[in-house]
Amino acid sequence: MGTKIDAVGTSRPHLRVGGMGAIKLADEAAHACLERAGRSAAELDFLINAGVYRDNNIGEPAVASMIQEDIGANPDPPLQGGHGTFSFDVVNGACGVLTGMHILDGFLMSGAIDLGIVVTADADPERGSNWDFPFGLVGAAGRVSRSHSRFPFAPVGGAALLSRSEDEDKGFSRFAFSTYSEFKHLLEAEMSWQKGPIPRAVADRVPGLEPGSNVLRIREREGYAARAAECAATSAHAFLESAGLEPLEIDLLVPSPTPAGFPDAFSQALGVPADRVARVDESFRGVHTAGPIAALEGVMRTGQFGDARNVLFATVASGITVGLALYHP
Amino acid sequence: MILEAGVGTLADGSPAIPTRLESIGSQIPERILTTEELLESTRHHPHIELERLTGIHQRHVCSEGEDSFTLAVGAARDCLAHSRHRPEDIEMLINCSISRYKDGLRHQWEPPLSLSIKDAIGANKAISFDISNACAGMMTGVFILHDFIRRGVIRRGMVVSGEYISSLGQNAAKQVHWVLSKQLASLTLGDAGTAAIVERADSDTDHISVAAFATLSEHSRLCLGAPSHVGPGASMFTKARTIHKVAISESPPLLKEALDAAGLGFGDIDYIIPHQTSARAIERGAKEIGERLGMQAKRVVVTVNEFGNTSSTTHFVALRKYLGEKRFKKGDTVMLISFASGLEVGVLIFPIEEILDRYGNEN
Repeated sequence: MGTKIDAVGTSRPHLRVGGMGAIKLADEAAHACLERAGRSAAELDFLINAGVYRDNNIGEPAVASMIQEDIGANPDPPLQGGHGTFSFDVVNGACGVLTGMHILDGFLMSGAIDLGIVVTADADPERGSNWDFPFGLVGAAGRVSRSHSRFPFAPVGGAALLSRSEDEDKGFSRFAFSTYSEFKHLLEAEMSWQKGPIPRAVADRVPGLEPGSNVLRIREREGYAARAAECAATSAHAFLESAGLEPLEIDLLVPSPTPAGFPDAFSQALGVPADRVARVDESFRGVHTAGPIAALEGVMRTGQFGDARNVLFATVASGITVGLALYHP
Repeated sequence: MILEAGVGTLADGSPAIPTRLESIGSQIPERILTTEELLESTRHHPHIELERLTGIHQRHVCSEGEDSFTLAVGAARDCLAHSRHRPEDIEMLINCSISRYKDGLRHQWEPPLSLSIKDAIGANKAISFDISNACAGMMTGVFILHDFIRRGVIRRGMVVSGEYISSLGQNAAKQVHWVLSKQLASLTLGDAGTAAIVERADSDTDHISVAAFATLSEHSRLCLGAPSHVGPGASMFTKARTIHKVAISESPPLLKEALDAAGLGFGDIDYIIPHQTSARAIERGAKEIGERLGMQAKRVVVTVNEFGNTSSTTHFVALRKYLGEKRFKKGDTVMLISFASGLEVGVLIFPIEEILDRYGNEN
């Protein structure tokens, strides 16, 4: 008995004016994933959002609860004997999707749930316009906070639907996460108040404002990709050894597509042939937390995923955090 | 609800391992800000009887050098000081702060704050990540640890939160005009850190009876917290009365489901600890829920008068205070009830047993 991936879905912006915020992207990815699996949102017991960069950097409520409402996953109280849906956010950088799968795997294996979804999306927080909150003052998205220079990640949403397999040899067999905090300075994202002018219109409307704004800064320093590959290789060697597998027994490697250069550097360091590496096409360049789902979608489409015996998921994130999972389709 | 009992079987038919709260810690800032002082700082001097409306006399707030990170680390250390476990014994560490401020009001999105907390306390073998579930964060973290431990994946873990949210009150003080302001709830907030270690239980009675959650997301947009545009930190906008109304009207069947799973009635619980928003709302809500469930609670814990609403940490601030003040006796049953933005409804029911010994209880 193991946890299996029933379907995945991705989304990218299609609105020309104003772009799309992370919440809308996540909604669309979840819809695509459920449709591909032939399941309805009402069947979901659990919803975990793993996106980091969301509409106007909302801290409360959990973005997952808004996605749950948007897609219609039991938004009202469960009827007698019904489960309802439980949702919350996981924040673990580009390892968040795998962390979400790890948590879902647990609740599926405990028997508490039958069906769960991990959704994720990142987009420039200034683009967020899917508010629909009943509060006027903050309704003008983009004025609450702003992003420093260009937002570095591509706006991509992803979703993966998980359920319990009755076949004990199928699905996830193990997860492992490790951190290398000596390299935590290589990728950092923070939001802090920066002094500066405020627009006259705003100052007139709300007198007494402090001049400045909350600004999001994301810094990826030189050497992040190389260090991430080294850390991931170190963790993966130990992980495969504990699983009793050699690198050449991995039929398919699903790595984080970013940082750029990571999939090649990591697969070489681990000793997995290049033709066994799941890659994303150019349209996903710069993807952040949805990266593993985008990579998985491609190999599911080609059949490479279904034909593999041993699939290794390997994600890397700020920290440096390495997430690994072994999966048997 | 999505519910896990303390005992029973897993999906494959094997027995679940019971879990328990082994130790609880908190870190409360020394500085006190009274409601009277906070109202005096408002720009528009609204005539609001906030203390009478909420019962909040004061809250503790951070001074220079304190933030979400230092509160979380302080709470984790207090928790470890009352624990049998060493930092290196922690196998999973979950940070669930909504405010992830480090080095002042610098909100850390990446790396996750849990990594910095893990480093600071020396829990270097722990898997770590952050979760975000508004004021239900700590209880959600306990639910996740409960699941990992009951399946035998880990033996123990720590859930921790540091909430430096007094900046929301300062920002609200610049804008609140009257009693129906959407930022009024921000004036009730206080700062605090809490931590709890959940471990494998080796007792037939001393274990979590039930952990359960449901998200009533049709109400997900009734409260919004985001970086402020009027000053450093964040701002929060809330339809507080609507949240309270729907929480009280829609939660009783969920609470009953959790109580039934534990084999208990509402009146069997010795201490109900609800999310701490306002003393009046808590007392009125408990009475209404009691009427719906057909019996009244024995005791309803209120600490909001002393600490304000400390967001994800409120239940554990109350637990730590009651443990420190030796108010519990062995065999008491506690029920934590979460009503949080989302709208999250969460329940955790457990007995007070061995944990008392670690807080100098002589009962």
